[in-house]
Amino acid sequence: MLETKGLCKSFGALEVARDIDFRLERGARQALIGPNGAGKTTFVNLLTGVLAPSRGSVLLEGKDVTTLAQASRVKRGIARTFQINQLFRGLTVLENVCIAVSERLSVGGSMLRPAGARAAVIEEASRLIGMLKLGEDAGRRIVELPYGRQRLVEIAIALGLNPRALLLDEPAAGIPSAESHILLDAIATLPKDIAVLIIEHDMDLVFRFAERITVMVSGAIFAEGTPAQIAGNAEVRAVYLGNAA
Amino acid sequence: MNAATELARRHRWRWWEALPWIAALAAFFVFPTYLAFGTQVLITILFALSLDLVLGYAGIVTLGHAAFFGAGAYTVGMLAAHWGWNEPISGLVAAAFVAGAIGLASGLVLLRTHGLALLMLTLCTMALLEQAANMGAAWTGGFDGMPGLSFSRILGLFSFDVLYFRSQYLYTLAVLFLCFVLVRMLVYSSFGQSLTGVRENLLRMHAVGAPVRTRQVLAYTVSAALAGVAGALFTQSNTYVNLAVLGLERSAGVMIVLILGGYGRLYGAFVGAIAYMVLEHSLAKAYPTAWQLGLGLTLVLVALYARNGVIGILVSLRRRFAGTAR
Amino acid sequence: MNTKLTQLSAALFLTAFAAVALAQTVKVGVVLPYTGGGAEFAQQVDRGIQTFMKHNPKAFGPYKIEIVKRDSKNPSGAEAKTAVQELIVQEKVDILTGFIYSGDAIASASLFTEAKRPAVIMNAGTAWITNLSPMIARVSFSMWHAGHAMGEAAAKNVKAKTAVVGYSDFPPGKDSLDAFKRGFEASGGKVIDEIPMGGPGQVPDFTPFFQRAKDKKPDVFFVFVPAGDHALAVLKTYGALGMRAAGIKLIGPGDITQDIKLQAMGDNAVGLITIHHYNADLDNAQNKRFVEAWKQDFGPNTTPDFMGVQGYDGMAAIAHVVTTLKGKIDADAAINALRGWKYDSPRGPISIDPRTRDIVMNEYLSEVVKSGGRLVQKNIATLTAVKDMCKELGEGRCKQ
Repeated sequence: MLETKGLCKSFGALEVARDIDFRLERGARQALIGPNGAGKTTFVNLLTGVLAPSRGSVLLEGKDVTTLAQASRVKRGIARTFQINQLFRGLTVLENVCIAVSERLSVGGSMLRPAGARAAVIEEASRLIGMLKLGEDAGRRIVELPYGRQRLVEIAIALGLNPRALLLDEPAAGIPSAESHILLDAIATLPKDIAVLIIEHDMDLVFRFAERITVMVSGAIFAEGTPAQIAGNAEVRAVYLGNAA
Repeated sequence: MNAATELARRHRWRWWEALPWIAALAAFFVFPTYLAFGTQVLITILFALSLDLVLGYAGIVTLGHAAFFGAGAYTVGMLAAHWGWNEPISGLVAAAFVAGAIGLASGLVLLRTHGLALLMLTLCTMALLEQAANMGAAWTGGFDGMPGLSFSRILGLFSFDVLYFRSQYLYTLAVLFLCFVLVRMLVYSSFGQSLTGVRENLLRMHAVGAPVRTRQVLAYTVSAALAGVAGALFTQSNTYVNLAVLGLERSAGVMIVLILGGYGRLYGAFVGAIAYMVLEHSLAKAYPTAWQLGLGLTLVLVALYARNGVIGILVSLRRRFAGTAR
Repeated sequence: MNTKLTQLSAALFLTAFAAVALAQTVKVGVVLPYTGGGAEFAQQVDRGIQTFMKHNPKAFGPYKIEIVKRDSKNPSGAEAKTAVQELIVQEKVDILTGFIYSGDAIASASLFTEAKRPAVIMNAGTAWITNLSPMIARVSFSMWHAGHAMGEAAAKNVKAKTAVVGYSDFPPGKDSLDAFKRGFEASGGKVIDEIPMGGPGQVPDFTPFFQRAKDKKPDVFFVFVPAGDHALAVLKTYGALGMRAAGIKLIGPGDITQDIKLQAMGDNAVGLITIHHYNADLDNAQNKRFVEAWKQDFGPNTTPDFMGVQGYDGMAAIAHVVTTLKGKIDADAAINALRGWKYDSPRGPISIDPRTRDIVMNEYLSEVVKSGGRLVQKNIATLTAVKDMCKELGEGRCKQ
């Protein structure tokens, strides 16, 4: 459903995406791995429209969205989280999620009705917060939360956008490993037709989660396959898994 | 309390919100000889409130807000001086439209930039208007201003009170109240919530698919219109306007007022304007040549110890007490 | 019986005393920009007021003067208006005075009329201010006094046939241009170019404007710019372009040779011809006494300038009102007392025009010369009893 064809991006002489042909199928549980600086986050930025590609195209359900702005891609169902938390730090957890839900329901520009009177928005936000076990922190401001809890808010916001393709940029970074199951549980409860792409260094999490793994090195796709195929790929082991393990 | 219930109740009026208005009405009776000054305070509150919408809520840092104050001030002045349009309330509406239009036009261009570039461009907009008003001295009166303006009775009933400013004070108070209700509605709406989102994290706001620039431009336009109303009230109450309505001093002054009171807090404009102006006024009366020293020291103290303004102190005190109570 | 009489007489005495005490104190509200950009001007005027009060203790007769000062802060007019309003309704002052910026006087005019309080303007120079309220009398100047007189003097005394005018693009500049042009052309000269030279805020690079003036080869180049840095830059550019060698004389109103700035202007200023109603070098007994008193009070390195003398003369006018009305200030009577008032001021004989309530005074044409290591203004000619020609000619808003 989300694919790229010959996607290239360079900053001057530096090529950060090289001719990437990539597919994320409906309902996929896929991981994108690779050494630091491989261009994984850049790739997410290209998919979401934060960056414009130098060449190539991005297609969502067969339609070319390469020239669409980020906001329109979000409306069409591409949501992402950030490697480093990007939250509304002065607002409460509930407000953070409400903002996302309001935008999805296209009421974010409504000037007349109080935000507090939109029961549907608050209910849905509360449900997502409960799903991520953030219920008791709903009324606390982001700055008052430990980093790991903040990571979960990132995901709640992305889920609030009701995505068809969800791109999670290192969602477990900063979450104590004892809590990472909350993350997996949350993803497990998502409707099966949502495609999830996860960028992650925690190989344990990757192999528990992913049904398909893409390995990226130096801005290009290096290998792709099932977890078993990737684990058994000697070259991948050499360039990445070997020194990660 | 449950966070969802709290959010659902946040926009409801609370009893203490009646206090500022009761106090303002009481001041009318208690300080009958201070109403000229009182009118200026009310106008400054409205101006600061308009700035709060962009600076405090939408996080747009501007040093050119006097451009809209001036646009409104000159709109009613020029309408009265050149076309005999001196009906005060329709004058306010006209001022809001003109200032809002300038806000919209400049906002569409300026809000493509951020940070220092934006700051400079807001300054430039104001400087351009100031120079235009200077060059068009035949229409604006330039530095000498427009003398002898007169306005017809408010609602056809109350004539402007030259010496005691009684009708100007009540009229300004009524307009301030209506504008406040509007701003309050905006701030608690989904639109207002999304503005705080823009202020708190632009990157995230884009990532949730919000039309960020549209929201900013809208907020800027509404804020400009409100600043225009403040400017119009300034001209009407003083029956005079000159180039000083467009200066950096006015832009910076209102920003100090807002920061002193606490920005992004709706009532910061009230607390800041009253605290700043009453302090300035009484110091200036007691020490006409040296009052700035006292005022400056106070501001330094606020900047050092109360970054979130006077309201910020009150809120953190309440948090502390609530914390120990728990 | 006896005690009753004592009580009665005591009561009578107290009543009489109270009446005298009331009549004897006259409250004067002074509105000046004591802080901000105008603080230096305010200081001059304020010191002028102090000098008069200290050195002319008998001028007020038996009546006591109480001064209430208020800061008019910025030139928006609104601050001054609020100050005036409070002086009237809270302090109940009898007379208002001060007013550096024209806007301050213009904005307050309606209050003078409404509250019936006489106002003695000590600076504000926009010509038509006196038309705004019958309660206004001005002891300072209008932009037309120097401008028009300079026009006449340029033709008659400097013997110029052609002139180029360069001015800062704000009301005093434009007023000066109009006034000079009327005076010069009425005396047979011709203004061959008018050059706006930027605003009063920042000092522009004057070179292109001066080059344009030089290319026109006029006999004189009349310049109006704000005192201070602008004036210094004007002199530098004039010297750098060799305009004096080209036979073009630099002339202007005395604002650019303000006494307190004169020494800072350096040798470039030598030969500069200006006209003004006052400079500290004026040779008359009143002025000698005034400058000496000033230096004694405020230090040997201080000098009064035209604003200082305006504050001094303003208090003289108020003293005249107070003694004429025997300490009981009635507004109409006060203004009538000022109409035609004559005074021997440090700037020479002055009077208030009974018709316009504006000042009538001498204008001194002087040249900057070096004498004893310092710059001095040498008097070339004196134009006597100069009126505000804007109102005499009925120009624009000056029409009554």
